[in-house]
Amino acid sequence: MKFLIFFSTLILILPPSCEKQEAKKEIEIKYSAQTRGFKYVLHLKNNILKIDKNNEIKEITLNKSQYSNIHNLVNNIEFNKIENNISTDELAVDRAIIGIFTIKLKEKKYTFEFNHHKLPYPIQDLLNHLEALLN
Amino acid sequence: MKKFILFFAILALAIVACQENTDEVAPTQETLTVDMSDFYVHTYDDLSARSATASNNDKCYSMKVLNQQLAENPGLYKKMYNIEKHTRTLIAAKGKPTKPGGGGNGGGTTPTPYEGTVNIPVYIYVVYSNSSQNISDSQINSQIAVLNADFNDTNYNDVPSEFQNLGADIDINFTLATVDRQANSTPSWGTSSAVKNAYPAIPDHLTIWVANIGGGILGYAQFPGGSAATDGVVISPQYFGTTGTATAPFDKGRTATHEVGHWLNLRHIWGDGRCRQDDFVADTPSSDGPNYGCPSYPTVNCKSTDMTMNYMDYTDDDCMNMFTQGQKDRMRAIFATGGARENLVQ
Repeated sequence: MKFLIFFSTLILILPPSCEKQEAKKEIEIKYSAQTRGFKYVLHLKNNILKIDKNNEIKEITLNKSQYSNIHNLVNNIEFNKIENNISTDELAVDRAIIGIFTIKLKEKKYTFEFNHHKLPYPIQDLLNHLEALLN
Repeated sequence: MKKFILFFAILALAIVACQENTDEVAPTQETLTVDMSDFYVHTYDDLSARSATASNNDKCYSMKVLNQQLAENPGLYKKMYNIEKHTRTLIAAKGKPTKPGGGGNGGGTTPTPYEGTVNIPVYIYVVYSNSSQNISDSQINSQIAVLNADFNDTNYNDVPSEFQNLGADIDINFTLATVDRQANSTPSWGTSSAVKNAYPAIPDHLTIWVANIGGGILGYAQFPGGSAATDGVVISPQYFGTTGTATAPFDKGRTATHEVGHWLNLRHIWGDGRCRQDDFVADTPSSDGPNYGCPSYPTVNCKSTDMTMNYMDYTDDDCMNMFTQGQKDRMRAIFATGGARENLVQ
């Protein structure tokens, strides 16, 4: 009988806790903008957030609340409606910095090429939020 | 049997003798056809705009953007296409540049599409909002000296042996014509051509705007064929020249060398795309992207060694020191008859 109670309790407790672990792994965001003399890389993987600004590196471990906020922000972005906006014309003569944004969201992966100085609002907002967490 | 062999020998001789000896016919611009199928002004490469689960839409999206941009400025595209065709025709007429890789197939012997020294007068605007941006004459002169050294380099012992026989003396001189100092309260100009619109380019000169760009951009250029009023290069003062406010690791004047390379029709050495996108120069290796900092040798991408020391890569000033013969041909083609910068040698 004791065994039965023990296993029943185990079965009830384990799945939600595993789900939480999975939840932390389900978003990966990487944004990298670089040109000659300029480097900006933001990377969120699991709950580790890292930034590299011209080789000045900062890293934090996000708490549940911070991670949850990012999750909400990301879920509100309609990635299907976002479009690339970099012009190779401008890149070819150094007039723009290419920013490559990649997000792995559950089973989907989106990759975009943006003009670093003309990011679509939801992406800029997300990156601002991430960077603020590092300050 | 002897008669039989003799008959065939005479027949073979007759066939060979009657064939046109193409090696002895100098190709002319009129008769040459050049392949323009790989020409691009703007295109997206391998990266997709959409989720990887919707890859079928990617090509359509890229084409949509490309077509939209072409529709917005068909005149510029046509001009650039014509310049490219003119360049390729001249290069094809003069012979093929050597291949990269140091394979012992000779180098530096390809005639250039325009013969003789090119002298380019330089008009410099110094647009400043504070005293540090109002750079000294000494700093300006140091930049002119770097341009002259880089475009007249005859010693390529300082590059890896794999590339030594590809190095070229471009034979272009730059002469400081005017320094035009303009006080302006704008702290940074961005890349929207605002500074060019405020202080237009000077015809028959290389116009350089030394003005604070900001936003992480050291300098930018304009290819031949664009608007005359904005024709030239813009460079932030802290990346101009070798003295004064010039800041490491971009304090050897190579930002200007790189941007003037664009102004003379050079593309980035990686072709602004992946391995399959070219810079339209035969003797520069393929690469899938820029190199930064001071890469160790050899840096291998696209199954060949990157020419990280080429002025058209993105490495630090101290770590770039060569143009190739193929790049020389491209640059000098625009000074030939019918070329986009022919006016500078007339």
